[in-house]
Amino acid sequence: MNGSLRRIGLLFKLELRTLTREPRLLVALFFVPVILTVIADLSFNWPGSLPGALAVQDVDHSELSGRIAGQLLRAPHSSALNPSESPGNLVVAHPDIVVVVLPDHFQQRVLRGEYQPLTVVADRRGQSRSSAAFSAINSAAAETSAVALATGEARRAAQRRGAPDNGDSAALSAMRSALKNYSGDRVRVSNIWFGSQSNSSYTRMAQFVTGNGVMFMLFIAVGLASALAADRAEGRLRRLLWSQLRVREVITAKVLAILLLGFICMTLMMLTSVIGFGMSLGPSPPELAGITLAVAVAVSGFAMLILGIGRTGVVVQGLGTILTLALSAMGGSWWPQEVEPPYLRSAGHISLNAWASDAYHLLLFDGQTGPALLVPVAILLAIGLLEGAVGAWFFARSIRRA
Amino acid sequence: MTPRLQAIGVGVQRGGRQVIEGIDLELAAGECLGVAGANGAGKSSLLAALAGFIPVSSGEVRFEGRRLGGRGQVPPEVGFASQELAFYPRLSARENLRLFGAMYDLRNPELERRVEDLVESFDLGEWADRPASTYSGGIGRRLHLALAMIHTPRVLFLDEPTVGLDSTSRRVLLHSIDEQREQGTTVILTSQILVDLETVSDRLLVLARGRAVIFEPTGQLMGRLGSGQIDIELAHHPTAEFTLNGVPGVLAWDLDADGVLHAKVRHPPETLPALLARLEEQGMMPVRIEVLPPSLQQLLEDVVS
Repeated sequence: MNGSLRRIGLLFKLELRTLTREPRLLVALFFVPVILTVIADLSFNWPGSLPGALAVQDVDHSELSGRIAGQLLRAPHSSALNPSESPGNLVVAHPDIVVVVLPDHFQQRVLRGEYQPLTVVADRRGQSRSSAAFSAINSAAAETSAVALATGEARRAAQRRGAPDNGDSAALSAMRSALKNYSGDRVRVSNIWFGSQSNSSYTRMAQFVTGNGVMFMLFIAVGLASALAADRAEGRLRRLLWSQLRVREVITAKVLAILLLGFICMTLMMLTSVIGFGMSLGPSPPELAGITLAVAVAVSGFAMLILGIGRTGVVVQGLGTILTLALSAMGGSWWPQEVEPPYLRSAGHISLNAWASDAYHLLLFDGQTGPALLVPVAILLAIGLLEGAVGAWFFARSIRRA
Repeated sequence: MTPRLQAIGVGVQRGGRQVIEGIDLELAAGECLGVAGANGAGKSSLLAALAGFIPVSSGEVRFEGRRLGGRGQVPPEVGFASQELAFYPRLSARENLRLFGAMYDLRNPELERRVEDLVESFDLGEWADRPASTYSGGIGRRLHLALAMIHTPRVLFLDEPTVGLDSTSRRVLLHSIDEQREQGTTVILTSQILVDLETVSDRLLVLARGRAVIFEPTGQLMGRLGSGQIDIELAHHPTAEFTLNGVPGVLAWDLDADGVLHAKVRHPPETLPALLARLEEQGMMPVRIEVLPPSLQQLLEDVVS
């Protein structure tokens, strides 16, 4: 047993030593994914910006404006803007921020039954990000409209009764009654773009990192598998197997290398996004690591399968690359599965990428932990073990027949 | 005493074709067998079967009395260097030797001592710490052969070990084979360069279409079957009537434009007096005589023809 572990350790060291002596390979395996992550993160979410943030400026400081502003400020990523600041300057500097202004005499106009516009200040450059803010503003406008309807009715009724103040006190009373009866809770701002979790930074950035991370793990696995196929085709492996070394030890060492290098690649991509761009690791970093490990197991199974099918290093590399690209496209590594038609989404689940995407999505998007992750993680492990077993059988057979 | 390696009626089929048939041999410790034959005669297949890499279709192979099962069940006491070079190009010679030695469960300090012995024995010192990808073909083959000996095998198979080697590398290799034999290793090698087999092998096996057509001690074989050549420079160009036909032991002869007589003869020492007598009869005066001993190359050509 000791001899077997020692031989596995030596082959594992050989994998790492070969890698460190080939700078171009290191660049391809680790530097390229990190650089792509940086580019994607810069494109998706540049530092300092917030997705679709809302600023509320209450200039009126009235009972009604305070109530409406309070409702607006319940929206995610919302904040109060000091009345002395210029909304225009703010949105030009931060195109993703939309400012809603509750102007001077806001309450007074509502009570008089006059037409009451809410002033919205926005920069067109940020309009693709502003849907959440506009949704909150529309809710506040509906609330204001309901109050105005009540005050208008009360004023007209008082005027018909010949009230001496032209219905002012009746309108004020109606407004207070409306605010009391129709609290801000009646219309809730619920926005799926922002989500309800504290880790709302899981956006296209995290989708890119986890999706493409799985793809790069597959590329690493394909590279290592093709190296072993070349060893087999060029006689090095056969020669090693004349010694005490056994095929199962070769496979174990290769799988360990794939697990480690794949895990490192995904971790590097995540850390780049976390440190440089504020991506959240979700509610449970240990479970995130567990998912990544399960993905690495599935990836190593894939590597063994193509190693069993392909005869030479060139074939394994070519076949592996084509399959990696196809599975990544189908399985939601390039774009979220949500944008795919249902039949394609279902078909994509033949790939490990889709199950990996499901697991990351559950943890990082939905904030689910524990049992909720069991199904995709178990399927990833099953894919790894099944493909690995089939691949290892073919691989061992190819050596016997060589 | 149990022979180190024994083949009893060994036959091998590959791709449905009989490539080896009815080979019987016994080799003792420290003995060297040279295997010769034309391309496709079955030399490599025989080596693979004797080493246990491929199954035999008939007969059996025994290593120190134990029957080999074939199908890759290779005893760790066997060392094998195939025709194709096989080592890790990104590792240096020392690193390759350490890796392969460790796979045979050699541990330090024995492993390190063995590595240094082979580096010295194969004259690899200058290249020992450079990546093997930078080696010339000859240096690469030296490393390839050294790897087969890292675990001090009891039987060493070398398939065409001298292919592509310059004279220095060949000398280094043949010297190291002698070293192995002195340590009691049984060596079996194939080669197309028959002078190499002549130099190192105790016995010679000549294959033709998978069958043994000759299997006997090299020296005895050379003496029994070998044809040599006698070149004689004559003082005058002979007349048109000159002939060596009928001289006992002369197999063929010709005369070149410079007046040098080339005679292919059986057993040159015994044939030379009769040849000189015939020249004297015909009034020819030799000014220079060169006797070339029998060569294995010539022997093989004779057998194949």
